[in-house]
Amino acid sequence: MKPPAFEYVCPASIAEALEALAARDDAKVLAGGQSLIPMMNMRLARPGLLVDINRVPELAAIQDEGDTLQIGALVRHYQLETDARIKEAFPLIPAAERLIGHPAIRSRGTIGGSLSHADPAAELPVLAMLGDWEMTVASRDGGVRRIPAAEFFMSYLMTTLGPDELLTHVTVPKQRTGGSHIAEFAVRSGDFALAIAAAMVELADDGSVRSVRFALGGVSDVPWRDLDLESSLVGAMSSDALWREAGRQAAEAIDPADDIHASSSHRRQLAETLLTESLSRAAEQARERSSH
Amino acid sequence: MAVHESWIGKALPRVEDRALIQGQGQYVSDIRFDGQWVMALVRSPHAHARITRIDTEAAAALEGVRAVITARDMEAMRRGLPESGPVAPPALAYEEVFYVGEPVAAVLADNRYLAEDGADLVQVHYEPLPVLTSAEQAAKDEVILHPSIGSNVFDAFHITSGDGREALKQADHIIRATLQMGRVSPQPMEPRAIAASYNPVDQTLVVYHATQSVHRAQERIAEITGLDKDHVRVIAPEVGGGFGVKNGSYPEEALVTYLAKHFKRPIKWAGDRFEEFLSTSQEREQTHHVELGLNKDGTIVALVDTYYQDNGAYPGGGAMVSRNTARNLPGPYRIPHMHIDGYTVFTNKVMQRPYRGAGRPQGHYIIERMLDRAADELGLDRVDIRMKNLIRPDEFPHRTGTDSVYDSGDYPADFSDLLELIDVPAFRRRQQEERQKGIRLGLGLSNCVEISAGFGFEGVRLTLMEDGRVMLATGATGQGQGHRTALAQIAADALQLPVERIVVMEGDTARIDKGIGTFGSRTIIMAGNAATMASEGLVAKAKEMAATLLEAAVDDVVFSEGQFSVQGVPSVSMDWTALAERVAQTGETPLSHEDVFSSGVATYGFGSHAAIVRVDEKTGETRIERYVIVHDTGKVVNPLLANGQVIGGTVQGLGSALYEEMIFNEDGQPLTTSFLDYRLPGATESPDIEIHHRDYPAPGNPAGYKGVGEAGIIPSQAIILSAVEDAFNDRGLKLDFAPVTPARLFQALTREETK
Amino acid sequence: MPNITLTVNGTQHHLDVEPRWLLADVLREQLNLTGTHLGCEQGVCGACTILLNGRPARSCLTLAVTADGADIVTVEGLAKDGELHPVQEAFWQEHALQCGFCTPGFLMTSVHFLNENPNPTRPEIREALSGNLCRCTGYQHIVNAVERAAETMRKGANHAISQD
Repeated sequence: MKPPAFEYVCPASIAEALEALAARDDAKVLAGGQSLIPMMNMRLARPGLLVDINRVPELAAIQDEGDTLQIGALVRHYQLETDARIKEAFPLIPAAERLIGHPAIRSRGTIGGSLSHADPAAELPVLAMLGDWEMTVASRDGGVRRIPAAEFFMSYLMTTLGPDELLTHVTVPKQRTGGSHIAEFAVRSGDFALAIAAAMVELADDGSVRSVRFALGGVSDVPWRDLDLESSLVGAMSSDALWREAGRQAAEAIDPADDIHASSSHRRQLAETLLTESLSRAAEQARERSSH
Repeated sequence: MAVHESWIGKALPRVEDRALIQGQGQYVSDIRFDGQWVMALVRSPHAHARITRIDTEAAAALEGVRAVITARDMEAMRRGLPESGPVAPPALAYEEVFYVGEPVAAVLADNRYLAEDGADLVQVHYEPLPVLTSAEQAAKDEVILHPSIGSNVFDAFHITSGDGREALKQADHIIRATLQMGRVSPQPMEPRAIAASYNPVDQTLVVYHATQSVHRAQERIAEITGLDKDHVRVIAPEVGGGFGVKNGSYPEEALVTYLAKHFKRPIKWAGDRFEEFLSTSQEREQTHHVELGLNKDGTIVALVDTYYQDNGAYPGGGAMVSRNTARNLPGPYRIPHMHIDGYTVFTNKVMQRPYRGAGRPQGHYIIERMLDRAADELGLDRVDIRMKNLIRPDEFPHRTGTDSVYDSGDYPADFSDLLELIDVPAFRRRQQEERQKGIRLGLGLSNCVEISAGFGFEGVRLTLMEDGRVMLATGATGQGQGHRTALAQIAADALQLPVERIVVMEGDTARIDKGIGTFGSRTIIMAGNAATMASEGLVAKAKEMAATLLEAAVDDVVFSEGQFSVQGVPSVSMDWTALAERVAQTGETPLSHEDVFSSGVATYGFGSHAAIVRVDEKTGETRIERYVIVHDTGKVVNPLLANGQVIGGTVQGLGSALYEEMIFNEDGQPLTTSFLDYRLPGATESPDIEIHHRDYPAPGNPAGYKGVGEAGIIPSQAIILSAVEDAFNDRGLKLDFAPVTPARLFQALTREETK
Repeated sequence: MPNITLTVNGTQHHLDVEPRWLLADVLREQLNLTGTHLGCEQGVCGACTILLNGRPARSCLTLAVTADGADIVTVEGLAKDGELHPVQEAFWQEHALQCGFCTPGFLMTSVHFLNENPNPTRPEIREALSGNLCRCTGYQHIVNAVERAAETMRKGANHAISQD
């Protein structure tokens, strides 16, 4: 298992990287390589040109913009796991990171790589959907565009990123109040999850739901979210029964595919279980926070 | 020097480790010959197809590619591989391919990157043929894979003991079930590999081979290359795990050795993980239709079993697994009457051949699962039914009816000890309490006999080296078991030398003429006894030498505390070092002795295992909370290594009980060909194993050794299915397929609930 | 062919590499450091784990060219002047290896883990090792070894592997 031959460039700036990407249509971006290199080793991916962005310092920055945090595409998993600013802004990121792969994978893999790989059973795409993250992409000819997560993921391993476009950074709106939780089921520690559920809950003083959002991974070709279902819960009193019902309704709304690791109905049951757990825990955390 | 303490029985850290922990171990993939060509293979993407055309021009034209070989242009590639049973696969498929992964063309290039580039460019045209993926379907012979045999059932056997099937009529109850085991891919961490270099001047071939038996490989390679056996030297350097699958004949062995001689160029093939999944033999896949007859009180009357083993495309040693399954069907239980029909059947998958356990797990799976089922249906306790049927020590020697004579141990006592360690009543209370909270705990119990050795021989050659150390050479080639330590301990005792004065050389045909190899937990039994015998022989020769040097009669020479001295004159003595120096000074050939231990008597180890599992019924996940083993290892050479074997075997077995299954689609495509889809247990999933020793020396060999390599893996599938069922004993869950993955448990639970 | 500089176990090397060459292959074939093993080339088994700028990384998923300028420690760099690293010593004493093929990856993972978490619990050790597969030992003795090494390292001198 050795990669086929390819051309290689190692730009020092975003502009240089965009120039390289525009130069040929079989170019691919190399970030952490934790998904791309295995596919190249198996010769399932055969890029003609690799644009290695590991030496573009602009892409590795984390910037506080007040209401949002800008995370450069090259920020690596271990940084997402340990950076204090990230933990403060979006505590689900470090929580999710502990579920991603293994330490050696987290040393190299990047946020940009994970999002543009767009595996619907991966954690960060689920959080992007949940947190309404915005992806900033640039290209030589098209300038800069900002894509909301809801429009970014198109299908299994497919995003709206064009072949000449580079994901430069991710804008993460800060979670100011309330509670959040992510739960997943993987057969073994560090495996790709069979299902993921993440939730964020804000409660009013009377214990009613002020806002709620939740997203599922591994149950469809893109991370799954249902805004109508979310808003139907606003105003209701937070209770285990409410969250169980939400889990049940979400499980009814999804239509996961069968594969060798889990049948559709198994995934549906996993989604229901995990979502109920995530919503209850998030609500519990929201309650604890407001009482302090 | 005061040397005569007993090395046998000491928990000695291994002598082999100092190199391995510093990255200095040399595996085949680390060997590099000057000017070597590296091989990559074009493998069939079809499970069954006719080859209509192969285009190799583009590959051959690629820079760095040295040759592209097919069976069409090189007739020798069509020949059947040695040691392959009634239908021998060719080195390269000629007209037809029979499984996904079968080699069709070989590309030789300057490095693996270029060889894979070349393989990419070889175009093979296929005409798909009907595919067989089920043994029972294939046994109907509607499509015959190998017309030379005339049937897909290439091995059928029938065993009757006592009154056979007739005896079922005497039983109060007959329990019937169809039980299955999925396919397991053994997956040693080092993929298979081989490298060969031919010297045309002296016409010798040196082969570095990740094999479990250098001598059998030597014979095969001599046949393949047409060289005399003594012109073929096979060396197994460090071998990164074997578990049975590095023990037989493979196309790559023929390709590398034949082509190295043909091109007079060193050739190397280091298989990758994908190839390991596609082309290395697999095991366990069987379907049993079982009837167990019992009396009201749970006493077994008769066992009747008809089973089919999906053997894949070629026989290999598959029939041995099937027959060994029959041998293991009684387990440690008294079964007066049996009838067994075993069918080993061709399908379009990679072949099944012995994998750690090799029929022992299958046989025990059947009897243990049937006892659980019988207990449940008769309203008996799963503990009591086992105790009632376990063979008692006063029944030894016990003839099983399937060609074994159990000889030692105390099965009921060991099982009782296990029950006490687990504290079954306390567990039952906790199980009920936790169940109230929605947590499902289950207890699985299983007993097993480990049948080892009982055929062939193994030799040991001892040589007194100039510096007074003793070199021990054996043909039993290890793959991580720690022979270099354990055999040194045995020889050190017999030679009355410190253990570090023994240097063990394994896995090199140049060091010893004959050998069988390491598999089936035979090495300590066979080579261990041979080491003692060879030591005695060496001492006798040393005494003769000492008699000359000390000017005494041989009968007056005493060997004690590592010193040779003359009876009544203890002041005049010499040790091994002094003896070696004198031999060197005189210019005589070094003292050396070779001896062989042969035995047709098997050894019978025993284990009682208990597992407590925690099952999440929402996710289908099973975690192991506690795992306890009471184990009879026989005479133990090194408890550290023995426990390592038992723990390692157990965890490997837990993989095939909970996670590991090769899944094929209806076209015969394997769908689980990476470590992402085929899941080995990891550190987080594996429990700490508690081992309690009850060791009874084997009466069947002088030293009393028993096998220990299979011990852990034998009961795994039985015990985990048993434990998971027990977690749902209020709902009557029945599991009939191993492994019980989350997906399969979900299926079983929901099917049960919708009934 | 791009020319790169790698500092491996304290020694600087200037190497010509094809862009597609995996770091593991360059360590093994060009620098003859064959202690780094290739077990799956998919980033799952962990046998090829090395320390790359102080962090564990899969050398089968890293192109050598992208590691230009990096400081690398392989299993060959753990022992100093013939003295084994406490993690190596503990693996030996606790019989934490059988065939030894996976061992270099486990050692590198454990060394980094113990530098970050000098006083781990058994479950933490198991979690830290979950990215490395072993087919022989059943992990128990490996966990014992990491526990033992932690104890030695807490008592003993500074065994940090030189980085930066």
